[in-house]
Amino acid sequence: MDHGDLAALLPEDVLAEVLRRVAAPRWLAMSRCVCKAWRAIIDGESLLRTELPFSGFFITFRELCLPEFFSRPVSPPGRPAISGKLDFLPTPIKVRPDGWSLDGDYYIQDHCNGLLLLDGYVVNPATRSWDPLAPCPPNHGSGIVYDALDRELLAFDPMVSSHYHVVSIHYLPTYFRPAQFDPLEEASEWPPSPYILHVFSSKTRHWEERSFVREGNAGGTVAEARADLGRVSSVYWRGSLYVLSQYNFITRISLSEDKYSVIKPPMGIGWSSYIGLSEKGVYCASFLKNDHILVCTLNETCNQFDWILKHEYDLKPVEMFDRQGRFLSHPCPCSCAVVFTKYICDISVVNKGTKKQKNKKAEKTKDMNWTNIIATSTNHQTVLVPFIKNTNFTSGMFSTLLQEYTNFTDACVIKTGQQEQVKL
Amino acid sequence: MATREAGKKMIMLKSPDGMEFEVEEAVAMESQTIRKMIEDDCADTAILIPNINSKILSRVIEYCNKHVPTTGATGAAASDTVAPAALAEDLKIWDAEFIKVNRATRFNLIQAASYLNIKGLLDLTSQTTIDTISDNSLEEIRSFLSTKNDYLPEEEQTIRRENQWAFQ
Repeated sequence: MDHGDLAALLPEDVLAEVLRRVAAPRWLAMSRCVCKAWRAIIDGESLLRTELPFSGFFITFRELCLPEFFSRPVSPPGRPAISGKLDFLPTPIKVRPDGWSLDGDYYIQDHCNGLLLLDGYVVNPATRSWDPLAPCPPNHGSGIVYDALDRELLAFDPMVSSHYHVVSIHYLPTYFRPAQFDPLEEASEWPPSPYILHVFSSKTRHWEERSFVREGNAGGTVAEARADLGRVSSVYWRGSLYVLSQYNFITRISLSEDKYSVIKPPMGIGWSSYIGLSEKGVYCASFLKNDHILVCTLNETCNQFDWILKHEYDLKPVEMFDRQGRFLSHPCPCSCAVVFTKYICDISVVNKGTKKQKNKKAEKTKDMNWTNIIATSTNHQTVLVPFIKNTNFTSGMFSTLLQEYTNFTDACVIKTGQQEQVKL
Repeated sequence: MATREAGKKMIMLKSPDGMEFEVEEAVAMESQTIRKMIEDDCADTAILIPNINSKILSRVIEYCNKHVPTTGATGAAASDTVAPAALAEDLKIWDAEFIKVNRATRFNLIQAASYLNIKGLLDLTSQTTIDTISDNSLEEIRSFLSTKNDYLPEEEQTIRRENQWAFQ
């Protein structure tokens, strides 16, 4: 048996090439513990940072029946162009010249690390492949509030597994006549423990009812969650699905351990928040007082969760919000904020809420003329992309706006990796 | 430049220990590094392949000989009689036999494949190496790599926590 150190027999760059070619990310992550020299190679060559097949973001405009895909460069060299047409699906949508279609629409309900969740499909737009997704079975377990709505979220991490999950979480609708609720139920903990959720696994191709036990304190009560119209956003990170939901608390659902924890939001979080992924893991971006944006990163050690303030921006000097006016005949805010980042989460979707929620939000915030913003935390930049909701608003106008924005004031387009970002 | 029958151009490869190998140009051009030398007209006389001894170089040539796309009179005859799928299957079996070498030879082959830029050989050797250790525990990996755990217990704990998802 010939024994010799692999690292000594092979030059570092050759070894790194071997590992980059074939080693599974999970194995690489585990083998960081082997010895210091080995970890130095894995970290030094950034072997754990896998590039996603494409960079860019999808936007679902409310008035269009297909999403639009935006990226720079338009398509990576040597690969087929990615588009929002989704014409490889079995029921393609034919769009008439006026932008309408009789075939319904493809509304992006969620996205995760390169996969899109549509009604009835999970789609990989880079490979033009798709899986049918059976409807989630109805809820009839204990501990489920009678009028809870379902919200399906994707959990996929190509660094961990080629399989994905779809998790159906519960969302409590807000009504304006609270008298109709059962006071006992309204005072009960939300989310309950155990939290019974339907989870679809691409491995078994079935929905399964799973029970998640809480570790630590509850988030709030049913009534508190119900009072909040907050939108749902989620990220999948190291085997856990982080869901920012109503009442601004974050539920960390561990799919491998059937447990969940509730993470308190960052201090001083605003009325409109979004979680996303970037280099340091989970980020939370939040709007404060209509003219500030706060970006925090989540630090987890031994089930202790701390938020670390990463950026705080004053948006007042960025007068771009006033400039939107000229595109709008009747300003009407868009209802979602989205993140796209350098390494992990590079597809984003606007308007993640259901149409019903969007309308309500629109009514509520009619007088705020710049609620329609996409906030993005990336490596060292926070990207703000303005969004406008208008019946006449088209993707062409968006492009113009994006261009205007990038030329505007000190904002510049910088190239980071494969993706161009707007730096404030 | 040596030229043999059927108009096939021959290339002379030299290992640092003085051995010379005469190979068909097409075979030598399986290596992107050599291809570039030939295309840049840097291959007038014998090409010296540094760092790769004759034992390893002969194995690399053996691999390239097997994997060169079959063209010309003799090659065409072979692919006429055998279906492409069967040919690929045959190549796979051949590869599996080819890679049954000791660890030191395999590492030398990896290094040669990397230097000579032979994608197929690098894939084969890398995959085989990773396959042998990917299902092992940390201790087994350490033993395979002949390396010692030089972390303090608390350091290892910290790193484990950073990559907890990988241990689940």
